Amino acid sequence: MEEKAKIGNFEAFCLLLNMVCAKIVLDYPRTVSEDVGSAAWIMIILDTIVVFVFFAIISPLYEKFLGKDLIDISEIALKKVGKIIIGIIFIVQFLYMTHITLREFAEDIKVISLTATPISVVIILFCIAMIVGAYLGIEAICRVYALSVPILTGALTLILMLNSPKFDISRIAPWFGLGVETILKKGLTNLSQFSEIVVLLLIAPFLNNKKAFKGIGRLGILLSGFFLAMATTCYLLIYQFPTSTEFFLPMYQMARIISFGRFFTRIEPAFILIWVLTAFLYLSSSLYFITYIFQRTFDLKYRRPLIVPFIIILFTLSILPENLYSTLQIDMQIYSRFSWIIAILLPLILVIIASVRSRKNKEAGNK
Amino acid sequence: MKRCSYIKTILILALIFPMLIMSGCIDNIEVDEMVYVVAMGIDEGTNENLRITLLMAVPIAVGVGPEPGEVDEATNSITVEAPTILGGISVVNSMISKKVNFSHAKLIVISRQLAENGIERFMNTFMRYREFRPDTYIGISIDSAGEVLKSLNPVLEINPSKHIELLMEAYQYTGFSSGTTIGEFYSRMECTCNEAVAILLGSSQIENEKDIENMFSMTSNTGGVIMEGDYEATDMPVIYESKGRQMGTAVFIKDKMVGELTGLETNYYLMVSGQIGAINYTLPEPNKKAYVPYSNYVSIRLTQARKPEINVKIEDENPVIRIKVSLEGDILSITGKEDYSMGEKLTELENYASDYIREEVLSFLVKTRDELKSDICATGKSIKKKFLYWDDWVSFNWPKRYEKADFNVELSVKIRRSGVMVKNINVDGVFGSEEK
Repeated sequence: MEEKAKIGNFEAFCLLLNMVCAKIVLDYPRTVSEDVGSAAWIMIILDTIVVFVFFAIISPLYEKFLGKDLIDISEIALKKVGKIIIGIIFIVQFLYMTHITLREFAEDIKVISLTATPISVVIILFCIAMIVGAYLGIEAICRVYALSVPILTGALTLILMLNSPKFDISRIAPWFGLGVETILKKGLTNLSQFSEIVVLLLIAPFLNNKKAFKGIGRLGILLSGFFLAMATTCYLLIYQFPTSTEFFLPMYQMARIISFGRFFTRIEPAFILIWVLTAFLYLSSSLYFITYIFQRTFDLKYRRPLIVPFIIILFTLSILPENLYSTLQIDMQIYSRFSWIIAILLPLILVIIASVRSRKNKEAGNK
Repeated sequence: MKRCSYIKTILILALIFPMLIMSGCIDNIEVDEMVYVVAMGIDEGTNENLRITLLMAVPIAVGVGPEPGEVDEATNSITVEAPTILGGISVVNSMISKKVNFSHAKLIVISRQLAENGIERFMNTFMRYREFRPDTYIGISIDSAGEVLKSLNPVLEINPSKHIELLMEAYQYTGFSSGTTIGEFYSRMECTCNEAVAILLGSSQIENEKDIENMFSMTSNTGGVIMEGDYEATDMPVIYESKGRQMGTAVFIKDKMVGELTGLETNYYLMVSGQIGAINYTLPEPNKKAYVPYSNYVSIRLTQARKPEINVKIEDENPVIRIKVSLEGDILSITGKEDYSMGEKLTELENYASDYIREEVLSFLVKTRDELKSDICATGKSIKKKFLYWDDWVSFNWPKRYEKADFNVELSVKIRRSGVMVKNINVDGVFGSEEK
């Protein structure tokens, strides 16, 4: 039944946008300002350009494999064994990414709202939503994306705009922050923040209009870069470096200081709903992709029976970090440094190898 | 097919279940189980403890629905000594029937004694503990913070929270205080291009007219005349049931208080930093000296015409700060016989007001440079924008440079309106002077 799933262009675009930009409501503006100081926005723009170029290289090559996903391509490139290895790499990547995000979202909720509730209970609540999402499948998830992402985007823009009276341009000076060399060095590792674009290569077979793949990817990358840069710049226009590196949740902090007169204040509880919605969508789709990759890697007939085992693994992994700081360290020190190699570089290599192989096979067939 | 609908039912129940348990589970809050702190005062206690005074709202006394409450009973205060703020709150929680909550706190008052030793340790609590909101006002009390809180009893407003909020917002139409919040203070405290300020508070000892006469007799240097706002919070010539006063600004370098500005100087601080609202400003009549008894005055409502322009240039290693302030105003009253409503007299008043306020602004800026050594007007922001790298900016050491700054102030006042009168015919003009 799931193989018949169809995803519209807008739905796919919304999925991509939310997957990449969900980190804005976590700690993204803080981590980038920690990396390069007041020049974080420059680094994000450079990263967006680099990822766009990567995609510009990969998309014409991928056009030869329309209707195939990343796992199929890895099989073409590296045969059956290669497919299993690549599949396992991506499963580990998604497990790593999802368990950190699950813990971070749960910690957010615990810090700002459910302060007395045990962290395990908060994580279980997220897990329930993840199970429901992953069970219903990618088509259902994407339809919810299409409904929610415009609202989420509007809400994010509203938070940023309502803060505009407090913007001060001098806060993003000195313009090159911690230096051009630092921007370039940290910019390379920060490519990991675009790791989620790999989902485009996983949902490609489900696209209604498979040729729209290129357009969805380009627009998704550009708009994701725009929102990442905009959110970070707005945050830095309010909290100058190094104060900007202190707050656990930059967007929450920005929502807290919104005030227009004595009436329009304390609006952050309304935004908690928005954050939770972002989290549910991100985590549900991540769990879906974990089970999907596993099914495709090992050629299993059914995907749904994998949901419960993987949710147990994710729950266990997410409560492993001793404290909030350990979670942030895992994210910043390991995931952010190396994730781009798997999510951006590896698919490019796979597509190149697969193209060469298929051309050779064709030539051999012609002979 | 049956199995599928069975699973869907389970999923729907799984979604409904959290809604049921989360609404009244571990994190539930009953509003009537909380006591809401309206203001908190922090003084130095015994044995290096903090003496924490909480001014708490008593909702029943404030009134329920249309029923009026009792002003005297609207607040209750409690004082506790402990090494830390939250430690003190735990002690209070152990002895009152409700849990102390700061989410509706409007004002934090810290004594000058503590402020002079640095308040970073308190700011950390206010910024980290989520119940404190960034828009809570922060004030420094000249005398005991606890006494200031107790003397801030509402008289004209029954709701203590609203009373304090309105009081702190009054700077927008008086210009006598800075309206600083915790969030702003923290941001400025950690900034490399400006210094922090806080509201100056005090409790008045003046009970009757005799106390005012005594107060004026001690200010012989001004000949017994004090321009409005030219004093600090404790020495205001006011007799009022509520003894809490706000007037002036506490000036900081990083987290340590280094001095005070009077209410009038605070006017100039707000003008230069672009925060002035619409204030009533009185100046002596053109060509008349200030501080002369029975002098004539012109009162103007001043507002900011444009955001102040601040430019910093480095000449001979020292900064030259050029400040351009544009104000506009309406004439509110003229106590003398000259009419400044139109023509040449209006231009004369504009030029005079520009020069008069410019001189006052200049002497205020010199005070911040020589006496306070604190760039509270954020002039450093202008030069920060000329730097490319953070390390270069930090090693430039703006706070030290500011001590050697030269000021070049351009200030213009444009009178737009003259109240509901277009001209003033004085009594002598109507009846003819006796000399005729």
